[in-house]
Amino acid sequence: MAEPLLAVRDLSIQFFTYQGVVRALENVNLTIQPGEIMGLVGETGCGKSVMARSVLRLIPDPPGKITGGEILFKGENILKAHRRRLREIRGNRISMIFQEPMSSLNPVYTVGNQMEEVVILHQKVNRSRAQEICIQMLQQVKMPDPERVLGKYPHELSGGMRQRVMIAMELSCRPDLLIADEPTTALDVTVQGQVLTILDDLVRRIGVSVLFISHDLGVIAQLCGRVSVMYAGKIVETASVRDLFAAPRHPYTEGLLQAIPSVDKDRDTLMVIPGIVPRLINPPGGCRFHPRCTKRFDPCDNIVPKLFEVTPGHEVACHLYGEGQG
Amino acid sequence: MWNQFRKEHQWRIKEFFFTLRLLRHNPSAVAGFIIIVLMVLMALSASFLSPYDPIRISLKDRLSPPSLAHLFGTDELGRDIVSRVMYGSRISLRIGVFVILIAGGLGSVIGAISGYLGKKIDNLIMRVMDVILSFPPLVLALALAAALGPSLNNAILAVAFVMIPKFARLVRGEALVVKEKQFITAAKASGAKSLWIVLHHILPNCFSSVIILGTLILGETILIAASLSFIGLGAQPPTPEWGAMVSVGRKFLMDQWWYATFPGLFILITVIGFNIFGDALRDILDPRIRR
Amino acid sequence: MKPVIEAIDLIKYFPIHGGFLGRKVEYLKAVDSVTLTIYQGETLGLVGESGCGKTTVGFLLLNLLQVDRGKVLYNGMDITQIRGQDLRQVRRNLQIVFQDPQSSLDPRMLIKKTVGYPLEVNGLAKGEEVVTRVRASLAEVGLDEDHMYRYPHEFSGGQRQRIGIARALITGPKFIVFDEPTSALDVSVQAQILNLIKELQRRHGYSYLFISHNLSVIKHVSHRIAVMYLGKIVETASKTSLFERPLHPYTQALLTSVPKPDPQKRHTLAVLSGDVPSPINVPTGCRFHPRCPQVKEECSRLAPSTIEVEPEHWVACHLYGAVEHHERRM
Repeated sequence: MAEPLLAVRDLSIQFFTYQGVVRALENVNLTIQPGEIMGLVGETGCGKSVMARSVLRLIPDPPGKITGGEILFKGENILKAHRRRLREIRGNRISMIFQEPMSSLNPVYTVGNQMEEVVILHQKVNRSRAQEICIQMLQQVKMPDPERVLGKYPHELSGGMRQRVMIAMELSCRPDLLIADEPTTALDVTVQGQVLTILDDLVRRIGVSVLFISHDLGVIAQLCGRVSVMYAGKIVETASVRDLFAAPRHPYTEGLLQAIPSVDKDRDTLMVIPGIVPRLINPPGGCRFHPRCTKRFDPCDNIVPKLFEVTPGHEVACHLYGEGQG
Repeated sequence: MWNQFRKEHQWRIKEFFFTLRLLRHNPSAVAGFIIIVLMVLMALSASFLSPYDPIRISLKDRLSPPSLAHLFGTDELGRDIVSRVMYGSRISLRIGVFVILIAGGLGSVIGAISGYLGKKIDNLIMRVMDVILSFPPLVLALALAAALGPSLNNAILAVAFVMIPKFARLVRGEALVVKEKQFITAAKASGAKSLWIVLHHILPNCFSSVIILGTLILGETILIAASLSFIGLGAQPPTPEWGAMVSVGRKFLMDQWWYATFPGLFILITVIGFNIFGDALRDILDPRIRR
Repeated sequence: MKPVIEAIDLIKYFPIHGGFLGRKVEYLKAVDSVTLTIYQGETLGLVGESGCGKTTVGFLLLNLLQVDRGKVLYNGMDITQIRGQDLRQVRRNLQIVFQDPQSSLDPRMLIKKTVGYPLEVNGLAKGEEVVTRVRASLAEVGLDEDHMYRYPHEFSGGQRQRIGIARALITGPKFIVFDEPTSALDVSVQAQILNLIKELQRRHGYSYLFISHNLSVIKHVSHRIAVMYLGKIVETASKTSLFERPLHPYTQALLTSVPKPDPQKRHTLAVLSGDVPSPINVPTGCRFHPRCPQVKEECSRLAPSTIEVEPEHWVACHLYGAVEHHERRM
């Protein structure tokens, strides 16, 4: 296997709050190969946003602390990089787009201003050249009338257009990795369709790897090549998208797949995962999913399951599949 | 009974102790709190701890400097200043508390109604508040107290009137935000009348802001009351009120510095105490900082 | 089947003040001549994207917003005309559950009071009886008695939605509007709530208007479905008809845009170009014409009227021989 573009190894992050210590991430392992679209799926509070932000070291400290592990970007440990190196990487080699573009764009500057700023900063060109680059990028994201758009303020654009601006901005420096944190969750479904198609197309053309975070399994199924499932701060399953949907191993993944209503299938009642997502201040011992798992047995309460490769490329962290089992 | 109360209010009780913990770690909160507590204790214990009767005249001791017999000296009628200061704290605190209760209560309701009903009523009420606010508070309080007649209770009413718009403004702003929340629409959908919504939904959600404003204004209230007494419109002689004492003591400032200084010092300390406590409380109750 | 709610030609325009002196007034045409019927014991799904007016329709049906024109009949009685005490009487039968579990419950009010006050403000019960009924209502949605003595922030999103449902149920309504009740919830919680909603209907025979932008969810809960676009209903049909034979190009686009959670079936997601236009400047003729992949010449001039193409399957589209209909200028 070629060297992975991004390798997160045993990452643990905790938040120190008045209420106690929130164990947001624990021993998280994730790899992204060059040129692939990697999905990260999980529900609210599972830690996927924390994961995304930690790659760019955007976790505020205090109250967050990285208590263990490393994040290797092309072999270099980002957690040990100093400020100047981080600035070189952010926006340039690793870019990020967020769910709510209104908060990522400064409302008092025009779109053009902000886009050009990024280009000038990283590519060290003058303003008119930067403007050309921006127009080109806007054309790549199929923005009608790019010159006019540059002169507009963020609030004058619709949600879908703002996301396209964000995509254009973040890809203008041809980064190696794009982290997309729920980029289409706040958009209407027809607009989401447009944005996802544009993103998919652009990403393949430029050759950017993507870490695509979402809670929507439909989007993940349509867009990603491989996917990791997160639950309560841990990765519970990683596989190719085909394998995951065709043969989910972890009980949580199974439950999740059965809980989504689909336009294709017709079921009277949806299968439900009993209970609720645990608070991470005092997460359950052993396997964090055990209180809700219909298949739990003895070891689940106390022993933390490790990621185990069930079939090539398909890993699960579950005692049902351990050494000598499954 | 107590168990029922505890069940219903268990979260409030928890939050209360949480706030106390946060306050404990905040130096200005602690300092302010100590000052307030000392003042309150002084007021409560004046009758047993005061060395002399505050209105007992003893002309042979008049204007004596601080000594072991009279720690703060005596005034022009030979009355012990320590005792007068101690009893004076009762007056000042009484003024402060009543003014805040009246102004806070009325002002909050006015502000909540204004903010909730909006449009013409809001406009009308807020313009009236603006008119009141356009007067320098002391001047207005003065005019009102003069019109009502010189007495302590009238002074309380006058100052309360002056403070009403501050509460009204604050609560109106909060009401504007709260009324857009979905639970208000839900209340309307369930058939609740406007007044009910204002009393049961809007006001409780403004409560903490009102408390904070109250502590911050308390200091200002005491000052204004003191100024009124200074001019002779508040507490009437022989009632020992700090402001009145400073007023009379002015005449004697040159040679008998203790007369005006000690009451003045207590005004200063009390106002500062409430202010820094209120400041710290505001920071602590800010939901962003809390979590 | 008997209709519980009939909405006839509902119109709601919101005036927008702009311009120099705040004079120049435009209208946000939120709901423009909407007609729909909900029968006893059924769920009508109302689906559309943001800004199409579906939430406004929900509010209009409950008279939480005053209609500009049109009628809403509850069991034959026009509720848009009644006020005060009479309206409050009717309100007991018509309830609503909101979208946002964060702001739909008063953070400073005990659950006991939140769920119970509809009884008190309507004079339906007092004191101990309220407590009993609150307990019963909470049990119906799967919560215990202890939960009465807590505050909203102690509950998860899903539990808060249950509380919202308990509040809506307590006065014994006949008709409930669900305004995107699961949009803010996680998938696994959503499943629980949807099951609960269906179970309650089975048990008590409630009639629902279920509003959502999520087609899969709508499919799961509805018997019949109405599709809205920019203030108008473009298609109404039974669930099976709509999904098997979507007639309106917008409905077809909506169905194709939904990403299917099945990697074996990869499909194009972008079927429509452009953005949803603003309800302030609506396109002329058929409002969908600028984005319609099957647009014809007359679509920009004439607004299509609604016709019944198959039994109980209505569309407003020129592709299906709609009679000429000139757009009313307001």
